[in-house]
Amino acid sequence: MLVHSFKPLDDDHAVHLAKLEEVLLSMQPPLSPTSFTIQAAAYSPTVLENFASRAKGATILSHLTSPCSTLVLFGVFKPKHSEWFAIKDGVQDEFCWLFPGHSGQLAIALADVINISHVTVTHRPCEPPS
Amino acid sequence: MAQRILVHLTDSIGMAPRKIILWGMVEGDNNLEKYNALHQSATGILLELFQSTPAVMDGIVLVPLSSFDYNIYTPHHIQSFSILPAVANAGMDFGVAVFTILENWGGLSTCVYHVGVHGQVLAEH
Repeated sequence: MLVHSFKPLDDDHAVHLAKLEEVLLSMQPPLSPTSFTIQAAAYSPTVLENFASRAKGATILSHLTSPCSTLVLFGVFKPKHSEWFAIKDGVQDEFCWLFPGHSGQLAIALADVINISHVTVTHRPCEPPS
Repeated sequence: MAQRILVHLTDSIGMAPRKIILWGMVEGDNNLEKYNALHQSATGILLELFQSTPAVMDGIVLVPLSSFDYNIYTPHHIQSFSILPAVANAGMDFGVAVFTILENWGGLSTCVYHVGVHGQVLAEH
């Protein structure tokens, strides 16, 4: 049995292992190569103005933006999944920019020319059907 | 019923964006000059982004501002991501921002509820 091949730990080993575990617990999970910064908005409140707001004059550049899902263009979901919802103020459960597949692009002409400091992205899981 | 709810929620979470690159459109001679200097001095993640992803799209020059992951394992639906310090220090200004979603969390479609681009207007504007 593999278990029986281990020798009992002496005190020094136990102390070293405890320290190692403490260090490991204090470490952040590894980020992917493309990751840079992840900050939850809850402790990084948005102080600066949002210049991607449709209400403030931002617009979608359609020729540089992925089209929304063609599956919903012929149904009642069409007005709910336009790319314009991504820059609409406020987030509502049933309104989002939906596109087919796992990759896409959204180009926004900002309300003004700015020095960009940060961006925010919002997704929220749908509520289960009642 | 419980299984149906579970599948529904799983599908919904899978539709969240995952890996995202943020670009800024380079416009004007002043910004183009800063872009060229930034491109030549780029290191680390910025260099990888310059090398791995085309910076020109339909004749438009784009500079990578940041690369990040949207995290579905936090309770915070709204997540904030800073731009790369090297780009921030370059002092470029942008009128167009482009979000490229490279992948989602496994869904057949991708759903984004809201994006925001935050910053300050330059004094001379």
